[in-house]
Amino acid sequence: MRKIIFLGALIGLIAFSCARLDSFLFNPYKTDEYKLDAYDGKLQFRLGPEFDIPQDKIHLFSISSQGYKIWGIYIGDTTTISSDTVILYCHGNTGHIDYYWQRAKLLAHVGGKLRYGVLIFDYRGYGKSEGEPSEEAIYEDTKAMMQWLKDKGLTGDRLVIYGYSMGTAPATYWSSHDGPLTPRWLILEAPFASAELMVQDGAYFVLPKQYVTDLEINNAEWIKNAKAPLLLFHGTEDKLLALDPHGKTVFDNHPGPKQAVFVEGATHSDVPVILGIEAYISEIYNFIKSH
Amino acid sequence: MNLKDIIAVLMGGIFLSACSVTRVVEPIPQGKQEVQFSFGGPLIHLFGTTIPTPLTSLAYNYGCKDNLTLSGGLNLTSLAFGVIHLDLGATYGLWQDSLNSGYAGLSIRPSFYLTTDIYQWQTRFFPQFDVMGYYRIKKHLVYAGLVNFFELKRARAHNLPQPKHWFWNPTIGYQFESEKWRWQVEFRWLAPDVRSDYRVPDYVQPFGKPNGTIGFYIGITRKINW
Repeated sequence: MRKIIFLGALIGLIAFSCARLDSFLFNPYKTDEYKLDAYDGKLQFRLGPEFDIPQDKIHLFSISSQGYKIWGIYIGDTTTISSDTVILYCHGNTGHIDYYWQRAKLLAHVGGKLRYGVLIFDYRGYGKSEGEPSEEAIYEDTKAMMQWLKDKGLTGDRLVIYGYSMGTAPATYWSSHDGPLTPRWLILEAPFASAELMVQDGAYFVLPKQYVTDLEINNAEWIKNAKAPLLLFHGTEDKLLALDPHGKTVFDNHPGPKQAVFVEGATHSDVPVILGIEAYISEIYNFIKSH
Repeated sequence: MNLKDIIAVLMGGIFLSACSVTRVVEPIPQGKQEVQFSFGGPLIHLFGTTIPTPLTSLAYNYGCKDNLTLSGGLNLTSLAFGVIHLDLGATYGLWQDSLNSGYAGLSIRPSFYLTTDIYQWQTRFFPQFDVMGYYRIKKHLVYAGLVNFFELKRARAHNLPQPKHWFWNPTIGYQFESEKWRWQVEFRWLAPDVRSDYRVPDYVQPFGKPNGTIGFYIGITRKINW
């Protein structure tokens, strides 16, 4: 009898052995209201008043992405998107718009205050956005935001797509796949090469990624087909996604033109601070101007 | 719980050379059988504390000869994630002699891991070779040795070269024997020549230095026909 129970338990374990950690890999923080500068959560840095954005240049809006209401903030003038250059910021896995607001403000000062429009948004399940996060959702929600920009008159030759950490996946994806717009510039900060390399780097062994995850993220392969020039930031002390192999593999696989800023002493989340706010802004501005 | 914590769990769960106690240190008598449950793995920082990765496995040992024990194991934690993860091996007693009031011995254990997932049936094979010295006084056995794990693939994702093929892991352990049970604790210094920082999992760094990590394991063995 005990043998039967044991075998039954074993067969049951096999039959139900479908645990996947994918849904847990996303780390969304919900909020009912964006507080922006009033956000009192933990941040990597806070900018001084010289980086403040006038209230009339902050536009909170929502759109539908596959039936889910997702939220974004456009910094700039929505009536001039048809003639402006816009930076679409794809944020990382932690937090929501409030957490990345200081970064969005930095981008709104590239080349001078409000020289470029900046669009920051929350993927499904993050911040005020409805739904649950998933890999498909981050691509589709980014696509929906690109479509919103296109509907406002933006063309791909005036679109900069910026991805940070997890956000490097949709940024790279839409730089190498057909979408509403083809970005003219691609900026990646602390990218990971692929889900597979993440597994293998962590495990030390050449394990198939399917052993633990269904994620298909593959920046290192997608970027081979990127049509936009690349600016890549990566901290040398990034212990979450190490510069080597992640950042370097992505950079090496880009066909060019490309430039890398490997920031000595920076970790996964403090590249702008360690590089220096002004230097960071200048790198982005010079990249945009020179391509 | 952040991304790093989550990945620490899943990565720790696939640190193959660290998935169980040493199955058999001293060969068991001919014809004897036993079933072993093992728990533990690499120590990781998680939820603000330090825990062994919760790897579990079940194994069967059979005394083929007095100095040769065959064993086969199934990793239950991997199974929960859809990975059939087997280990098969043989422990061979090379030498044994009385020493003071007990006896000392030396055993070797060639084995291999076979893993495949139920989603795409991607199969991998990893050989392992253990060398253990042990000393027994009555119900107590202490042992120390080297667990050697081999990665045969030359390239990993994106055709990057696999940086390391031989992982050596110094190991110490203790067993307490009763008539029907054997209790075992084991520490393993995993890959001391591999940097453990700049990795997604937040592995414990031995002696505060990023030289591999420490594995901690508990084994409970039920003797069947002793």
